[in-house]
Amino acid sequence: MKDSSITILEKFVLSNREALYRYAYGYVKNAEDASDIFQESIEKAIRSIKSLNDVSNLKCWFYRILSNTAIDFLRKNRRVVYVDFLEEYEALAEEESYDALSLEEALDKIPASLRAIVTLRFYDDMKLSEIAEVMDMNVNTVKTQLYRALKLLKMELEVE
Amino acid sequence: MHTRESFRVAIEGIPVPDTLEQEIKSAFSRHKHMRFVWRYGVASSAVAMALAIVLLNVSPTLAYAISDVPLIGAFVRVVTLNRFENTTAGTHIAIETPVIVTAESGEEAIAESGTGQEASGIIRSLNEKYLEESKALYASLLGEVPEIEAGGGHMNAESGYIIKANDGEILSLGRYFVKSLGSTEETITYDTIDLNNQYVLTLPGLFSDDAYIERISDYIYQTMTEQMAGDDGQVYWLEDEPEYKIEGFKTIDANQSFYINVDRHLVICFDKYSVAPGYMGSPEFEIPTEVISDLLVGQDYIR
Repeated sequence: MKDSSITILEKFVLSNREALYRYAYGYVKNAEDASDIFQESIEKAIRSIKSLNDVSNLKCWFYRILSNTAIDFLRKNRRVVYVDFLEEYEALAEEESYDALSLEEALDKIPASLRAIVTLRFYDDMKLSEIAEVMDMNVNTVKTQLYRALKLLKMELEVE
Repeated sequence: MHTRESFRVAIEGIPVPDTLEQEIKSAFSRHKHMRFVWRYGVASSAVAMALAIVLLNVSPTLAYAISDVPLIGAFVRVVTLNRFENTTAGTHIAIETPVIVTAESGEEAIAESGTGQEASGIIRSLNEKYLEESKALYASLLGEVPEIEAGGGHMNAESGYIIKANDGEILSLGRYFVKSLGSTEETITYDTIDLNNQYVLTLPGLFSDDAYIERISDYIYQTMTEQMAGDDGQVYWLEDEPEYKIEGFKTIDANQSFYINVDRHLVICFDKYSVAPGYMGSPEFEIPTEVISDLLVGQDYIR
């Protein structure tokens, strides 16, 4: 039984490796750190999958490990200062310079959590409820954050 | 205004390293490999005294080198006699096997047979175990070669030994295994041998009761905490991460890997990835003797 869940994990990671790697990259924006975070997430996942009962939510579970590992990494390397959402919003509201940016540049500029959410929705095709699980937020918060991200990125899309 | 398609293009513009697939496979095979070693370790101690040995490679210059310096008393020397090597376009395997040579075992005879069987007692068992384990490791690695070659991957695997102490009373011998396949895995297995009494030391055997487990664990926990506070690069897993069902370091195992160093201090060893992220390597902690002196059975080994 243990072997089969590890095999399922290996298949999942292998077949989604590009999306998973790019997700990690979104947090740290360089190849070396993205590889380290990916490797460490795999280690964590292997060490803990034996106790994961419901393999059906493997995708959310692994993205959550990736997110938390990346946030831990940023915190340890002091590249992120924790501010609560309100402060983050106010800071963003002052940013008027997004107009001139390309999509790539804008993506590099928005906060990591917004980038993660918008990537999960429009690149990994996750449902709002799944994103809520990955980010440990309620669905309404995910929705508001998505609208915010789309506005900053100048993307005209339906959130749901 | 950007579209969903332009968003997809932007994300896919992030280059993915060519080695990613191999790194993932390596991370998973490392896990499988660890299980294999554990099982093999149990089996090998059960059949430790068995088995005909097939000699694969003896260096002809070795006989000469050995008899150059005679051994007296309980002194031993560790030499390499069996080297298993294989090279293909993308892979390289080199496994060196240590043989413990004693005065009594007849150095020339050992050079001729290449096995160390001529030694007696525990030294002979260890020599035989080392050779068996090298052969099993070599066979297992050779089995991986076709798939790695087919996938265009690269593997470098090396095994050898390191001597931590050899003073006529104790021999501390570690056998290491390093394998690079994307990322690098490494394991070191130590044996500390009482040469006069022909005995392989165990961690519980050094202490009068179980109190050493808590004492040493507390010391290591404190040392890890201090190292993390002092240097940003040092990371140990100390806190539980219930979300992934990972437990932080709390205690050493009763039979935690260890050796005794040249200063006759106890050194406690951890496998790579067991208490820290991979870049921390295989952490080791030298335990000051005053931390444990009241718990030791005697001062024979640790001073």
